[in-house]
Amino acid sequence: MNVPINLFMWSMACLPIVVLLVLMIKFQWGATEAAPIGLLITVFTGLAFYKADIKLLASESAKGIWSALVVLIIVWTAILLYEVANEAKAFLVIRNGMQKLLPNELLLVIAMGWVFESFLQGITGFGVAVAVGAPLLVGIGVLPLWAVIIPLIGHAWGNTFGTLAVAWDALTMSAGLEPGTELYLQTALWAAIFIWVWNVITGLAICWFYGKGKALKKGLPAVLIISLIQGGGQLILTQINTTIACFIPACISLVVLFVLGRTKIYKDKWSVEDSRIMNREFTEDNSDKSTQNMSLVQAFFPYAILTVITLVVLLIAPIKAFLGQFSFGLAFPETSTAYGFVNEASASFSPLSPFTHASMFLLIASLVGLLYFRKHGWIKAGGCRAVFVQSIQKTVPSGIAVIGFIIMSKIMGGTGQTMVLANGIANVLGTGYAVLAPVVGMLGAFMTSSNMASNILFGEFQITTANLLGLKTAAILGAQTAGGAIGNTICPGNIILGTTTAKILGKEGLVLKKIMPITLSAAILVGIILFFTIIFA
Amino acid sequence: MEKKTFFKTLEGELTIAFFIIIIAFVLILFGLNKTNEELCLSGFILIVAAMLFSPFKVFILQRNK
Repeated sequence: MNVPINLFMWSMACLPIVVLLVLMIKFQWGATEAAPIGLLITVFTGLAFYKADIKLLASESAKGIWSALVVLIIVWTAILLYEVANEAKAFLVIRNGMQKLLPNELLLVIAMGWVFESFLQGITGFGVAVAVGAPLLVGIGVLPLWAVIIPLIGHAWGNTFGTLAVAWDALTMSAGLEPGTELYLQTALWAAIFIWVWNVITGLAICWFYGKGKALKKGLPAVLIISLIQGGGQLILTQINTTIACFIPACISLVVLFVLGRTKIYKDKWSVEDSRIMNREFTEDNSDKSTQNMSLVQAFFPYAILTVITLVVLLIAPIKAFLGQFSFGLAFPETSTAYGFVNEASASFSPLSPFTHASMFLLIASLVGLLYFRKHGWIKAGGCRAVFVQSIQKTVPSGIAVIGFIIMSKIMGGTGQTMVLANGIANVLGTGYAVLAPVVGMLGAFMTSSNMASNILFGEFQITTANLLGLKTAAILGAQTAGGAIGNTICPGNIILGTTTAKILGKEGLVLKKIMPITLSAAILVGIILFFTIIFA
Repeated sequence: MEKKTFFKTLEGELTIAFFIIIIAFVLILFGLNKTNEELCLSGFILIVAAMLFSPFKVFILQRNK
């Protein structure tokens, strides 16, 4: 491989990402408009400077579409689940019920925007927590823009060990870590420490958004307790069983939250009247008598089904092994650039196991929920058709942007642009690279819309760089996946999921603009901690 | 007020673009399987064209109206 690694080639690899960020943040373009421009530039730089041919571009595009379709079926089923609950007006019941159980409005926002999202992220992932969480928050009176921002931040800590640790497994596979070895456990420990830092920031940020200093003061005890359970619990469990390291603490925090709601600090009605994230008119004007006989437990029925199915299928090994044997992927030939950058042939690229895939759990939960609500008369005749039509209408337009981003990342990876981008950073910064290690993970998550894909993309690069520069491998890998988790807050794919279900599609740039400072600061903070750890070790 | 059919709305047009991308995907897979570069090229051009529909419509067609 002779890809020249110099400033010009690095700048060309950077160009699509810079243009994408400028279009979305500065010019407030929606993802559906910005993604094709980023893609077009990637194609141009790939052809003109990285010497790719049409076969390579077409092959990487097809890989991108396949990967996007796998993501989009989750999007569709997540939206379907939302539409089922929405058609039955279950969100009104959830909102009213939660308001009764949690009279403190700040605790209610923390519950619906952070703790419930963490629970969903623990089992589902792939943006489901954001897709489901955004309309739930709108349902309790949060303004749509903030209803997208809060779950984006709230779910991110669970990205590495959530979805039953799929992103963690990708990192260990990519970096060649053997389960149970010292390096494996140390990496898990570092990852959990960095993610805990982000978890604390998450809670504090949500309080700040809700009511600045006043809410921060009121919410601090709750944030510390929840973070101790989530971040601390995850840290301990990573040394025992990484698969449940996120899910178990997320479940415990959900239970503890309701206990918190009965304590002296939070048991009384409390709110910040001029909170910038709340739509006061909405919460006062929306009451519906058609759901009077629906209890809170019944409103959560589809989500309970989702939890049970997911746990049964993923945690009972014989069932998982039986259902997991049905899988299919696509075959792709070897492709290479004129520089000799090779993409190896694959007999079964990114195989899909439909019966253990999150979309199957979501689909079953949606259908069972639909039948249940229909049987009780909460979904009227004609409602079933509306649920399916609306879910498809919402999924397909946002699908264009998801496809665009994933093709862009595949072409960048396949032409060697990603490799040049990462190597350039490492070559210039030396030991100082430690500060940027989580930023690389974050960048990977931004480009691929996935912590898992970021780890696959940069895991090997991070371990190579750490070895080249003589840095602590476990800490660098921990920072990579923590950066990937933090980066999930700015994943265009996740943002689109939120804006779609919160019905503000096209406002992705505005969401990105609000989130970017906190995400970038957190990633750099993790980098600084890592840097000083290395210096003083 | 005249009610637009779904396929005349932006969402509907994007749905058509989505289906074109799926057709292009099949073309590329077929082209890669048969080592036919023309099919790969056609599929790739279709993808780029379908992807560019939204910015073209929003920033050129609608601005010129």
